[in-house]
Amino acid sequence: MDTHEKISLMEDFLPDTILGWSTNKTTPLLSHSDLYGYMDGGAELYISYGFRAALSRTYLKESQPEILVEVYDLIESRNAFGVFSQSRESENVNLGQGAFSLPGAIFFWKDHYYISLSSWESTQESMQCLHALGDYIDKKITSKGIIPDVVKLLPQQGLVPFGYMYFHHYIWLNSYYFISHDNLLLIDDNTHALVARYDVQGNRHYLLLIQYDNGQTAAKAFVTFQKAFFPEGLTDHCTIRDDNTWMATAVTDRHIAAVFHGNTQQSVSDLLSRVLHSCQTISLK
Amino acid sequence: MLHDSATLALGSSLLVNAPLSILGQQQDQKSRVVLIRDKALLDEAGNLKKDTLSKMLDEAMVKLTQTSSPAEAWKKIIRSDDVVGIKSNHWRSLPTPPELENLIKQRVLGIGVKEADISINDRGVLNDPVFKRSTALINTRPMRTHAWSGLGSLLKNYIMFSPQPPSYHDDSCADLAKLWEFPEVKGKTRLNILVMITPLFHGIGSHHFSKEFTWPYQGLILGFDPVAVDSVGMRILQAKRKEFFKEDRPLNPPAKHIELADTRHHLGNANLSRIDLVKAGWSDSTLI
Repeated sequence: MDTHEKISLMEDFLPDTILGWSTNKTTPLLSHSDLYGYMDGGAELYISYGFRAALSRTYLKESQPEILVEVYDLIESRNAFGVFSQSRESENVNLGQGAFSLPGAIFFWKDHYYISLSSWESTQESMQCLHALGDYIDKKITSKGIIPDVVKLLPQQGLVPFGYMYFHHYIWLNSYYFISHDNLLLIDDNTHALVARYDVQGNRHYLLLIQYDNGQTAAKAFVTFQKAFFPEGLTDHCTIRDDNTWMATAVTDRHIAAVFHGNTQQSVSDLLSRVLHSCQTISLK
Repeated sequence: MLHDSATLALGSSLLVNAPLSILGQQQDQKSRVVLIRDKALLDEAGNLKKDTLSKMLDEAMVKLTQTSSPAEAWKKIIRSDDVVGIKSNHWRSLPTPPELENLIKQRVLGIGVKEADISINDRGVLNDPVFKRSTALINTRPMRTHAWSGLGSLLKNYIMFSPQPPSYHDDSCADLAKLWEFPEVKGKTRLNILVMITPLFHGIGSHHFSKEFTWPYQGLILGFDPVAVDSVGMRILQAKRKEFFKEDRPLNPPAKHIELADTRHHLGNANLSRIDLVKAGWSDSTLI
């Protein structure tokens, strides 16, 4: 299926009219260049998650705010899930394979599609329309995607609800906690990376977990990580950083795990042990 | 180290025969930045009060230039024969307020610049005949979080001077300071005004805007050094994020282009120890 056929398919996901709103403008986005032109900043977010094509449509109704619907085809379901994981503070709407709503907007993902529904201002009617549009699109997309397996490795105890993010572009490394401006950990399209927030006895800890496609790359990444973060080595996988927080890290066959911002050596060591145990015991594809 | 933006501002001031000390910065000196706020800038409905904004702009200009009147202040940075481009920002969800654009224009007109020699523009600057022959630029925009560069900043506001804006997106816009070397820009910027009236401190998705993530800070930040002004604004947004989320929540991605504008490109001062921050007006919850 070529890009134009993809656009036609996405057009079929959207109604011409709904709850008194009518289609105003439909904009197909077939390339990175189209996306840059369309989006006043921010196209790179989708490009970093595999953007292939998108369809934007606005709906109008008299005395109501304009509604904007965007459907992004991100090639793989991991990308749609990844963009969604960036967006959601919780999952508070039953749409697609995960949805988050806040005043004036609903975001959800299904299969390799990420859907953004928003209105300039939020009214009761416009929110009803956003939900109706979401239901319509959800029913139209009949296929389902798969959440990346690496998510299964996250220890559940202490994990902040919905407090993790999936990515495979190094820019998102610092999403919760500043780690590095540089791609020390060799994150690319062949990796699966997570950052996650944990509450450990009232103290915020941050977990970074990266799954590589081979052990050689994992080992190489760990060497550059070591040079930057613990050039003098580790003691029982742990080190104390300049800001007096504890960090623990290890490399296994295909994974690097690191825990940051611990208040004690024991706390970072425990969380690291739990994630390493997951890596060793849970079989991934 | 001579920071280029400081030099540019000084160069500009020299054009209008102002002593170096007026601008409060020269080689090896701190960058002067004025943060002014007024708790009555917005009415209860959130509408901007133009008169209050006008007073804030005038007071901030006097403090920035260390002069005794607004008219004197503007004369220190703009000459009557200048051709002035006001580089604004027209992002639909949070544009530079037209009231501020018009106030700047009125002040420039007030010192004798011809109306035909003034233009306000954002995305069309490269094709704007006034911008094409401009001798002076005034850079103004609201600060907001940005899905790729971390922040929509004054530094980033010049991306429209590039015929290929996406070419500055590498490494989350790390090298936006290079834009300030463009011939259309270099040496022309006389003033930077960061609009902090209702800043956006958090964003979801690439261009979604939610009022939930704005707050009535009701401020303006002015300076000659765009790096210093952005740095102050960034710290305020970071502090607001910490207050709102009740934990450190770094900008995502980090707005490294501000720090790198200092450390890599030597355009100005990002480090607070190199910034002379002057605060005026409403002082509650300043966050810096």
